[in-house]
Amino acid sequence: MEQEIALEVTNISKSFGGLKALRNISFKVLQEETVGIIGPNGAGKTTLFNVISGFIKPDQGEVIFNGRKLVGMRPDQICKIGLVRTFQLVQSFPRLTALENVMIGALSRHHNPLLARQESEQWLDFIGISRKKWYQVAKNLTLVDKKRLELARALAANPKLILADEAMSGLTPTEIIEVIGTIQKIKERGLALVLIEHVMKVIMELSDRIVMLNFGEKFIEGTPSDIVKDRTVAKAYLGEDVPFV
Amino acid sequence: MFDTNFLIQILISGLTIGSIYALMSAGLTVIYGVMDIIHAAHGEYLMMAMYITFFANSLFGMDPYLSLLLTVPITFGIGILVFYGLILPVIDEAPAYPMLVTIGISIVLQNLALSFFTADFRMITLPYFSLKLKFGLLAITLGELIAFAGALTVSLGFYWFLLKTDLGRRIRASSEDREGALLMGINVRRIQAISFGLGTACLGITGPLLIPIYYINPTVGDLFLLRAFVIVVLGGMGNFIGALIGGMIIGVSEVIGTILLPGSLAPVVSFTIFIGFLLFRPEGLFAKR
Amino acid sequence: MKNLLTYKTILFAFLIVIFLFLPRVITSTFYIHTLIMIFYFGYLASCWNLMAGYAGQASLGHAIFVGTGAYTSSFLRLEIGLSPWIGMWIGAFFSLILGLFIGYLTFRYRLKGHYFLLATIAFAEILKILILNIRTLGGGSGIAIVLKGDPFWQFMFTQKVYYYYVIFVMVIGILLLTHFLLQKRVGYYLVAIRENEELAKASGIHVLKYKLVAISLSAVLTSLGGTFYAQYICFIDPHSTLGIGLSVDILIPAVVGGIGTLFGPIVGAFVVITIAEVARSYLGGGTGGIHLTIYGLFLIIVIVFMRTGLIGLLSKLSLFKGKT
Repeated sequence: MEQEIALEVTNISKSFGGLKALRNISFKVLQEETVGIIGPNGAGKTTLFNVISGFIKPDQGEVIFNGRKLVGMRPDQICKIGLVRTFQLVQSFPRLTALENVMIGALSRHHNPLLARQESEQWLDFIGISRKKWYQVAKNLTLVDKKRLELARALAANPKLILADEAMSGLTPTEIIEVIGTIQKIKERGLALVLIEHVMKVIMELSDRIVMLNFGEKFIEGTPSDIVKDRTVAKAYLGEDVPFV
Repeated sequence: MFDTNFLIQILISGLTIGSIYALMSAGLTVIYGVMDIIHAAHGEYLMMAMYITFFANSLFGMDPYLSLLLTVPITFGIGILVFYGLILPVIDEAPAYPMLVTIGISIVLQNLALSFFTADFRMITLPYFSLKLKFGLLAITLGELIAFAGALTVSLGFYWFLLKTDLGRRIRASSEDREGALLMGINVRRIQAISFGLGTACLGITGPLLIPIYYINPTVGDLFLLRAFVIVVLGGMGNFIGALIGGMIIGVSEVIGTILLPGSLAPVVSFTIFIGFLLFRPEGLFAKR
Repeated sequence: MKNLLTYKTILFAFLIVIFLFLPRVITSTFYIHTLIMIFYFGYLASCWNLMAGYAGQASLGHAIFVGTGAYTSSFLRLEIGLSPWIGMWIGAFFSLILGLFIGYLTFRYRLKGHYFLLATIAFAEILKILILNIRTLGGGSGIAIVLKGDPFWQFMFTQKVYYYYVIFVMVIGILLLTHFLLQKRVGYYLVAIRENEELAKASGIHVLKYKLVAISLSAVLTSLGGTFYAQYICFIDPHSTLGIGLSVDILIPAVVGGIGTLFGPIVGAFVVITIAEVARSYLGGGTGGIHLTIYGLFLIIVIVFMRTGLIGLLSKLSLFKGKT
C-alpha cells in the first residue's frame, strides 16, 4: 500500500550571521510514520523544528505539509492546519491550571470553551493525568506531568503530525518507559511523529526511520537497524572509531 | 546673523550641558546594562545631591564643590541600600516590576522633597561661578568650565575604569552575559549592587557640578531623566560610549533647537525620534557593544 | 467550584446594593467626592488591568486614552454643542484608532517589557505636548466645561450624587464585561498570551491580533472614563488628562489590589485613595505632597512584599479562591 507523504522538507538552509545552522536538509515523513532525528548537540535539530513550525524563516527551501506550503506561515497558522510542536525545555502556561492548559490547545478547534473543556478532560484522561491534578497550576506539576501536559495540549489541537523535541530529557528511566507508552498510544491513533531524542533506546523503539544530522547537514538516513550497524554514526557522536554496541 | 562667535558660544553651552547629560546617562546605562532595569528614580538622586549641596552651603557655608565629599558617598550608599532592600527582591520577576518599584521610589522622593522643601526654586550664587574666562574666541564662566571639565573627566575616567580595572571587567562581564559571568565565579549580585551604587554615584557627582548653572527644585530630576532616557536609547541601551557621545549630541542639538524652533514643540521631535529608535533600531546609533 | 461561584456572586450583589444606597446615608459632598474619585480610578485601573493584567502588556502611557476621550467630547461640545453622551463615543472611536496605531507599531515590532513601557510613555508625552501647543484646544490653559443648555443632555448634574451613580454604573459595567470576557475564548487566549507568548503562538493563537483586541478594548473603555472626568471636574488641561502622573495614578490601584484579578483594581482604589485622603486631611496638604508620597509607598510596598497585591494576600488566607 502506497503511503501518502505527510511532511516533505526540501533543501532547507538557514544561517545565523556567519554560522550555517542548516544546509540543504531534505527528508520525508509518511502518514502514520515516526521519524527520529538524532545528532550531536548543535547539529541543528531544534533549528530544524523551529523552521518547520514557523518560528524561524529559512534562507531557502520549502516545507510541504499535507499539500500546503509552510514557509512564510505564522506558527499559529501552522498549528491550525494540523502540525503541532513541543519544546526542548518543557513549556506551559505556568499560572493556569492543568485543565486550562489543555483547553488552550482545544480552543484552536472549538470556539466554545465548554466544548473545549470536555475535549480537554478526555485528553487529560488519555494522557494519564489524574483528576485531582486537573485544577493544580501547571508550574507546580512534576516534570513528567508537565511533559504529559504538553503532549495533552498538543493532542487537544487535533494534529496530524507532532514534532516532539527531546520529550525524554530530564526523566528517570521509569518515567521514560511511561512516556514511551504514552507515545505508543499516540501512534496508535494514526498520528505521524517526528522525534528529536538523545536517548537511543527511545529512538530505536519508536522510530520507523531515523535521520541523523551533523553540523547542520543530513549525515545519514535509514531504519534503526541500519543506523545501529553504521560505524560512522558512532564516530560522529563520539569522535573516535569505536564499535557501536 | 550667525557669526562664528555666536556659533562657538552655542557649541560651548551645548557641550557643557551635554557632558552633564553624558555622565548621567552613563550611570543609567551601567544600571541597565548590568541589571536590565530602567531606573525611573535616577533623576531623584540628582535632586538629592543638589539639595544636600544647597543645605550644606546655606546651613554650614560649605563650598558646593567640597560637598562632593558628601554627595558621592551618600548617593552611592543609598543606591546600594535601595538595591539590596527594594530591588533585589524583585529583580528576577518580569521586567516591569523593578521599574515599577523605581517609579514608586521616584514618587516618594519627589513628594517628600516637595513637602519638606516646598516647590520654591533655589540657587546658590557664588561670585566665582560667574567669573568669565576668555580663551581666544571662547568665553566661558568658571562655573560652566568646571561643570564641563568635571563631568567629562569623570565620564572618561569611568570608561577607563570599566575597560582597564579588574572590577570594571567584572562589571562588563556581568552585563554582557550574566550566566557566563556566574560560571566564571563572579559574584554577580555583588557586582550588580556595586554597579547600581556607581550609577547613582554618577549623580552624586553631577549634582554639585550643576549648581552654578542650574536651579534646585524637587522636579529637577524628572527634567534630566527624560533626556537621559532618550540618550540611553539613542546611544544603544547598555552601550557606555554611545551614552557619552549621545549626551554630547543631545546637549548641542538641544541648544540649537531652542534657537531654531519656536515654542515648546522641540520635545515632540525628540520623542518621535525616541520612539523611532525603540521600534526600528534599539541598538541605537552605535551598533557596537 | 460551583459553590464558590455563588458565594462570590452573592457577595458581589450585596456590595452593589450597599453602594447603591450609600448616598442616602452619606450626604456630605466631601465623602461623595471621595467615593467618586475611588470609583473613577477604580474604573480606569480596571481598564488598564484588561491590557496589563490579562493580556500581559503593561503600559505607562494609558493617560493618552483618557486625554483623547476628554478632549474630543469637550471640544465637540464647545464648538458644536454636541452632547457629551454622544461625544464620548466619538472620543472612544478616536482612542480606538490611536490604540490600534500604537498597538500595531509596538506589537508588530516586538517591543517587549520595558521597551514597551518607554514607548507608551513617549506616545502620551507627544500628545500632551502637541495639545499644549494647540490654541484651539486650550493649550496650556485647558478647556473649561461650562453649563449651557439642558443639564442632562449636556452630561452635567447639579448634584454630585448623580455623577456617583454614573461612575458606579461604569464600574459595574467593566467588571461584568471583564468577567464575561474571561468566560469566552478571547479571555482564555489573552491570559495564555500573558503566561507564555511563544507557547501561545504554537497553540494556534494569533498573538498580534489578540493583543490588538486587548489594547482596543482598553483604549475605548478608558476613553469613556476621560469624558466622565471632563464632565465631572469641569476643567481639563494637558497635565491632568495626559500627564505621566495620571498614567502612574491609574496603575497604582491595579498593582496594589492585584494585577490580573477581577476586583483587584477596585479594591486597590479603595485602599489607596482612602488612606491618601485621610493622610491629606491629617497631615495638611502641600501641593499633592503627602498623598502622592503615600501612593508611591504603596506601590513599593506591594511590589516588594506582596506581588500578587491585596487580592493575592486575601486568597492566600483562602477567603477568595478564584481562577487567575
